[in-house]
Amino acid sequence: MRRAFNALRHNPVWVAVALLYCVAGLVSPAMLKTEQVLNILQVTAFLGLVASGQTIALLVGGIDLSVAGVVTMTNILATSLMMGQNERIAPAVAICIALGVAVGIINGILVAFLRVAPIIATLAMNAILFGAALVYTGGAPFGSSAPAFNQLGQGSVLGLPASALCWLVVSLILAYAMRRTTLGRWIYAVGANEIAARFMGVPTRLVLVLAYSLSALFAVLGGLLITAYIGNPSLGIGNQFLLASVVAVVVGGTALTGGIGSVVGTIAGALFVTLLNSFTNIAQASTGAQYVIQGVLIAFSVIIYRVIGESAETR
Amino acid sequence: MQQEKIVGAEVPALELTDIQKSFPGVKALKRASFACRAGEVHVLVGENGAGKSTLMRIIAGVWKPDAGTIAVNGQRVEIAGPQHAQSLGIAMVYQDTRLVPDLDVSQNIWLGREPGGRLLVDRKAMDDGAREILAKLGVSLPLDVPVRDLEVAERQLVEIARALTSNPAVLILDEPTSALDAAEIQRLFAIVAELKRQGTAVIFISHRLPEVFAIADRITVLKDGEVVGTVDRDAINHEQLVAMMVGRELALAYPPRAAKVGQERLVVRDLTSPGLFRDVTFSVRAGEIVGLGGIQGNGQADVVRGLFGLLPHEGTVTLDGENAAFATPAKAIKAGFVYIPGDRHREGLFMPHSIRENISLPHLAGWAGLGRVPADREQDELRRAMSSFAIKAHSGEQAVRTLSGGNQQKVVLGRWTIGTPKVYVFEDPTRGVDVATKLEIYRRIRALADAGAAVILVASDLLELIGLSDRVLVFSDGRIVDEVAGADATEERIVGSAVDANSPDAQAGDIAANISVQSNSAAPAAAASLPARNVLGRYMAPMLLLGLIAILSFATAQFSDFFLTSRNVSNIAAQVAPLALVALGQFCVIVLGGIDLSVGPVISLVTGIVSYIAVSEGGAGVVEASAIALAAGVLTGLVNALLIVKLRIPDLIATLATYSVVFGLALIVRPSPGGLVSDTFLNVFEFSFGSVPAVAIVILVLYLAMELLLVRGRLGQRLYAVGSNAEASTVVGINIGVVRTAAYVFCGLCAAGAGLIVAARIGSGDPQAGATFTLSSVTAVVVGGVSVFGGRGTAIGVLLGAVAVGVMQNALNLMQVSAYYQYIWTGGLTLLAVAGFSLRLSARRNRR
Repeated sequence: MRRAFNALRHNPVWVAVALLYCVAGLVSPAMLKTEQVLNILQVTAFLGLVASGQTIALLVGGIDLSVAGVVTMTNILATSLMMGQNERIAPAVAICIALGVAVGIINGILVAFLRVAPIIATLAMNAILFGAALVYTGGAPFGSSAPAFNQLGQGSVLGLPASALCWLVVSLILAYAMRRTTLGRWIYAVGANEIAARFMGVPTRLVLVLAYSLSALFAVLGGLLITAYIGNPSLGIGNQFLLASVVAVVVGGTALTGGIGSVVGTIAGALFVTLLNSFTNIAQASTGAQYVIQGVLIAFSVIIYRVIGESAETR
Repeated sequence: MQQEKIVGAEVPALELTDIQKSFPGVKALKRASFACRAGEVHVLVGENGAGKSTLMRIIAGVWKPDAGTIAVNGQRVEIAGPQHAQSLGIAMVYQDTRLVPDLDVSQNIWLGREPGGRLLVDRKAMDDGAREILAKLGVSLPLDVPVRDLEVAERQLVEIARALTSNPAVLILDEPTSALDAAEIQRLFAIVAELKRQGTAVIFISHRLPEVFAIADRITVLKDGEVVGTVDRDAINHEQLVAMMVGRELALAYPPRAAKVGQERLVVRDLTSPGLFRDVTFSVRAGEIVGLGGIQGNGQADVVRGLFGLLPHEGTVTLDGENAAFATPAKAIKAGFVYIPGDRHREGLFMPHSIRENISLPHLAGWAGLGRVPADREQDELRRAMSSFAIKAHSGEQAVRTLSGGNQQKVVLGRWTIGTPKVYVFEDPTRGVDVATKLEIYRRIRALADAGAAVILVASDLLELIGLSDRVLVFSDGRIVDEVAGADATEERIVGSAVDANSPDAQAGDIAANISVQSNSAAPAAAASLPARNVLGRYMAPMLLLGLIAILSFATAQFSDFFLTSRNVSNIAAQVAPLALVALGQFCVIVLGGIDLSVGPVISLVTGIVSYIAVSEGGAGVVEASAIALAAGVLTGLVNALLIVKLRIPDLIATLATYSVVFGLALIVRPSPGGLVSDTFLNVFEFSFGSVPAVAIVILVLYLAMELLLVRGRLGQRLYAVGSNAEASTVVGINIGVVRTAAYVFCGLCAAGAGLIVAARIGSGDPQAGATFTLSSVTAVVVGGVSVFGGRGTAIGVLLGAVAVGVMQNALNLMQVSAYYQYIWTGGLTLLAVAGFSLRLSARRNRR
């Protein structure tokens, strides 16, 4: 009991998720139905995957604003390569992953070797990717994803949405790897103090490149999943993830200064953001209002985590 | 001489009586009393944490005492703040220099107190005054060289000169020698003697005893927040002073030297790294501690960093007979060569992480490759490391940040009790730890040697180096110039051989004379040649950019006859105007080291606002719309400033938050493009003189005004100072919160202004109208040669950056390139500019 309480105090985001769910349930009892819960899990998966990758970028003390472009690029490429045919799934997925990782590697090289500020490197990369998607499609996207592939986004396994399972399994593996493998610990170390990490024999530049590659890889996975969910190409589908992924990570307790935070926190953060969105949908708030709330949420959670951190210090 | 002083100093220049000061959990000062006379050098000594710094900060007005009185020239005063202290004639030179690297010598000397009018500073008065003060110090420095290009010792001179601008009666020097070599210390002492002769009361803080005896008239000893006593220098000897400081003799502190040493373990032959060290040859035996000494910065630290794989080098290195020329720290560690750097905060610890994570980090690859870390093994090793170094903590999961300095240092050292390294390199292993921990660390280091390791010690504290080493190698100018057995080593011998080996004009004896000779010859030449060079330096990036724009225009003109027509040029001007305006705001933020992502949505929001208000024909609503729009911009800037300055949220995340909020508002105002802006509004903002758009002229004037303010105005000094070194700016009394707030508000205002221009151009409201401006404003700024790290850049460069973007856009349009490519080349151009800037920066760093 006491341990459970402690766990909550250290993970206020889970408390926030629970509270928000209760409030949403009170306002709209439909939220409490199993199918609505499963539905929320299903759509959280996309943001959840992208945000898991974003967590790593923030943990190394950076940020990855190119995830939006990567998701869009993945969606456009996957649909145009699959053309609705099952036998094309494998090559399409492989190409998307390869390109995504290549983008991540370039981001990493810009940040680690050319010392470009991460926000500028990835913001510019995002514009390049969006432009590339426009040029590639000529403004009119084409193709569709294969029926078998769509099962990932639309189907369910043992009554649970397949997309949610994909997200949770992959993200939990990542969470474990971050805490318990050398590579994960190196990522935390580089984020907390890059110079010291270098002095401890950590190949810091390689770790940075790897971190941005992982971030891009997870954006590709999120992009594939949302493609499987909607089945069609859609220019600018990634744009919704640019802010939301950062919000989810920050709400999940990861600090912008690097080296502090967790993927598990981000899982909760993604749930919170999605819950909030569906809550505001129920409340019939406009898209504009949702952006406003999202912005307030970013500032608010940074402040809350600082207050918690400082009170822990004085104890 | 002694007599004179006492007679002339019946009323102390500064007197503190029964000062008390507490911090949460600590009594820093307990009824401390202290007096300093005019024309004396009063040295304050004491261990770390004795209360010296607290006392000095109270005198300098940084902190207020809880109780006690302060009197200046016999008059009782309450010091309200640093500015007040200065007006009372008290000036302080801080231990770590607080200069602004990107401002030049004159600007640094006068920072926060520049002579001149309200808007502009009087550069001539600044230079004249600076020259006069430097002459008083007997030195000469080029006045318009950025401080970043000066040596450490020269920077300190600038800092002292700055303290003297207020003509202080009391000058406080807080450990001024810690970063200086012997020759520079001699020069500093000559300056202090000169100030003393001119009647200044100098308070000198130090804990290097030989220095204390060399310079003091009187000495006050502080211990645990209390004054142990004040004595004349001639009335006390070295041992007695030490006894006063620590309450016991320090002679027993060092563990006995090695009785016998084993065979050679580390053999270094002809190690060379151009510019840092050359032909370094030595060996370290099992059980031996070899000290690398000499004057700081003569290659000792570089040699060990080279051996550890952090610097490229040539030569042969063997460890136990095997090749040990390591290319990376990882390889060195794997081979059993470990390096424990001196600056634990910067180079040794991961503050937010647990003791466990800190200790096991370098061993992870050895335990697990890249894979799973064995938890049991990690716990076992952690327990052993913690107990063998007696680290005091609740558990291994406690964050290192929460430990005391001594315990933090134990974590740094305890890390390497895991495994059996063959060679240990310690750099200043006892920096900033208390005496008890110091002794324990000495014993540990000796124990490691006794167990058969080869130990290299690099220490800036010569007594520590001598006390601990079996052999001392003396470095000078990157070479080993002397070798002394530890038992025979003395400070005199080490400093002597280090200095003798240097070029003859740097001999310790008559340094002071030397400096003044140099100053006479160097001054006129430097003054004559510099202005041209600096104009060139400042406008290098803009001139390059101008060339690029010319080439681009020329090339485009070959493709299209239309390009150079006055109609197209006025087109370009109209296109560039909004971008240039936002970029001006973005520049002010970026030069402070920040960024404002919210500018794009502000533009969108403004078009939305305008499309509702400035709609009726006949002119109604134009003023209202403009006022509301500008107010929205100011408000966004204020919110940004509130989040960043007051709530200390990083600029990136704060403006991302406002980006989201303002974009949301823009969507609420105008969910989709629509509305029709009145012709009156269009006529106002699209007005042009002939073919020159009026807004373009206004913006050009704004840029020229900004450039003037940057070069000669108070504003420029503030912007560059805060962007380059916020802490230094605070110390001289610049309110950085105000400067930052002003920059964000100005940026919001510029964005709103740009929004009005955009609204006039598209003639309606559009929630996406500003979408591309966030990136393109940053593009214009970085292409214009502004450093994203703050402190550097010109307004003219930014204007040209915006023009370059506009011309490029126009050219591609004329060449019928799809508008879709715009995203790609803006992104690419940004990356090129920023990467190019950082490459240039690192090339410059390598050259030095």
